[in-house]
Amino acid sequence: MSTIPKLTLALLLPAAAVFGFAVLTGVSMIRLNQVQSEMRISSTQNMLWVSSRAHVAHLRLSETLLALAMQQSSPEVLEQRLQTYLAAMHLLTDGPQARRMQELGFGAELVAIQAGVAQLEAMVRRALLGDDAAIAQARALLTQYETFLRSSDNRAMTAAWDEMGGKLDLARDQLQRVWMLMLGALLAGLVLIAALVLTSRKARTQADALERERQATEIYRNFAGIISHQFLTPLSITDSTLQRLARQGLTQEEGAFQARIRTARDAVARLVRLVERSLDVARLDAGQIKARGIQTDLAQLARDVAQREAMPDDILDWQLPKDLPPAYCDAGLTDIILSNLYANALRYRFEGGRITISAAAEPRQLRLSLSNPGAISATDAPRIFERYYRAETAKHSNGTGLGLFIARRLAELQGGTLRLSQTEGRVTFTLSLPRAAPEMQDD
Amino acid sequence: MGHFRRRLILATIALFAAAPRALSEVAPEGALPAPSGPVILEVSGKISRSNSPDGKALFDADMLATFPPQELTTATTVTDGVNRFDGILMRDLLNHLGAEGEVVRAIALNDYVIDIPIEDFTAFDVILAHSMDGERLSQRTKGPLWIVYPRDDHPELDDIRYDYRWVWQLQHIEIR
Repeated sequence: MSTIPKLTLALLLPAAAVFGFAVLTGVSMIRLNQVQSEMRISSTQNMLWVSSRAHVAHLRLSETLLALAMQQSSPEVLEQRLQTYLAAMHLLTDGPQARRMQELGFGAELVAIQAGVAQLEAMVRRALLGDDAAIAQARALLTQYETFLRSSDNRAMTAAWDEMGGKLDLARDQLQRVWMLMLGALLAGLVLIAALVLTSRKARTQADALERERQATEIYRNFAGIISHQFLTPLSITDSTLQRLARQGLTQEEGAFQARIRTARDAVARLVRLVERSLDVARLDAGQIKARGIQTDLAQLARDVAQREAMPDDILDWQLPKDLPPAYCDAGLTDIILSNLYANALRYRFEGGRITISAAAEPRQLRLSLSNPGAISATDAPRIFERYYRAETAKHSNGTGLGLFIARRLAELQGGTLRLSQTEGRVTFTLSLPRAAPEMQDD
Repeated sequence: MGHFRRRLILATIALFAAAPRALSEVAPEGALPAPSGPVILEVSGKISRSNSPDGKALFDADMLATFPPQELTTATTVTDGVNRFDGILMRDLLNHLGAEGEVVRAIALNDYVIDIPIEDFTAFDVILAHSMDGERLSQRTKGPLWIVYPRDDHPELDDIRYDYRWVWQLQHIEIR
């Protein structure tokens, strides 16, 4: 797969997701807005109420007319009933309510009522003046409207229910669609999140690669510094010594001659050690050094290395338990670690300080500690295992800045660790290595 | 929610704004003047001023005309288009009578009875209208008095639960 389609996909997918998300959310909002605006009971839905009020006014007028005929009511009450009736009819036959009645199919009735209302009022007025015939006429006219009012009550009610039901159907339908849209938006959101996660992961990988590269550059820069200082110093010592020898020839006495030769050889030896260390590091970096684990008596190894490195016996305190179980490690590599630690302790202990070598067994590993009076500053402590790092106090000595770096790498190569700890003016390096499994001990 | 909060704020403001006015107007404990013309509105219940032996406040058209006039333009559910109403603030009437209750029961000539929370009159400039579009309301055209809400000024009033508080042919108010 070429990079161009890949890149296009990486851009298109989130863009499509964002677009989809926006569109779906937008449409959902529009739909919800529609539902919201529909969630209102329109004024003409009060028709049932208007119609029933008219009906009541109608019945009461009719009833009062009858009562008046039987001398059981007063003209004042009749006047009041008439006014209420006229107001109710006015409401029914005017404005939005009249239009609604026409929608309900009462157009003809409304025209008839509007025409009849004036007639009715005239009849009631005559009745108020004591015209009994007018009472009968008025009641007859009212009876004509009775059927209309009764069916208008019914129709207003069913229409209101139909309308309300329809609105609920619509709202339900819209909400269902919104639900689907939201689901879509959710999916688009998930795609977007996935795309973001993928991108960030890729970015992290790239950042890691960049960091490794930066470290490599740093190493080479330090390496150049080391070369110029550490490598050149022994070379210039050797050179100046040889120059002096050449100048003075064989005229000087034997002792001084030997001393000069020794100085030169020491310098060369240092250079050789530096080259060897650098080569070790190069092999470590290249992954050419492999650990071959075998059962190893760590206590014995510690004593052997101390002896070989000619550690002065009188400054060593041995605190090794007799029954220390064997470790599972590469004896050769562990040898290098220990010699580095001895050299380090010897070089940086306080004047006259003694070196304590102790060991302890833990369920899964063995700990071997080298402890000496000394101090490492807070700035140096975290960086002391770095490649070519030289502590402030170590700048004057002829270390390579590689010993502890190599030691830790070798410990890790064997599945172990090398740690620094400081307490009460003592510096302790602790090497942890895996314990040999019990069945191996039986071998 | 916003509706409720707004009403609450309005009610609070109205409470502080109305308090001194109510005091100054209630302070003269004297009886109201007696109506000289036909009574068009009766107020009963928890009021501190009255002009009848049974503790009611009776009003004729002239007495109502002594209140500061208030104009209101709004659409209604029973008319077409926008109408201009003239009348007086319900709030002014209630303050004038030292009304202290929670509910205003409005009773119409057509026996229509509705309970209105008294906060409505502090939260909104509800008027007691006597004219629509410059014409005096008759009994046939929802008169002589009609409780009118400023529906066009407050969207929340466009609601059927407020519609039924627009009492027309108003005859009697009872403060409870």
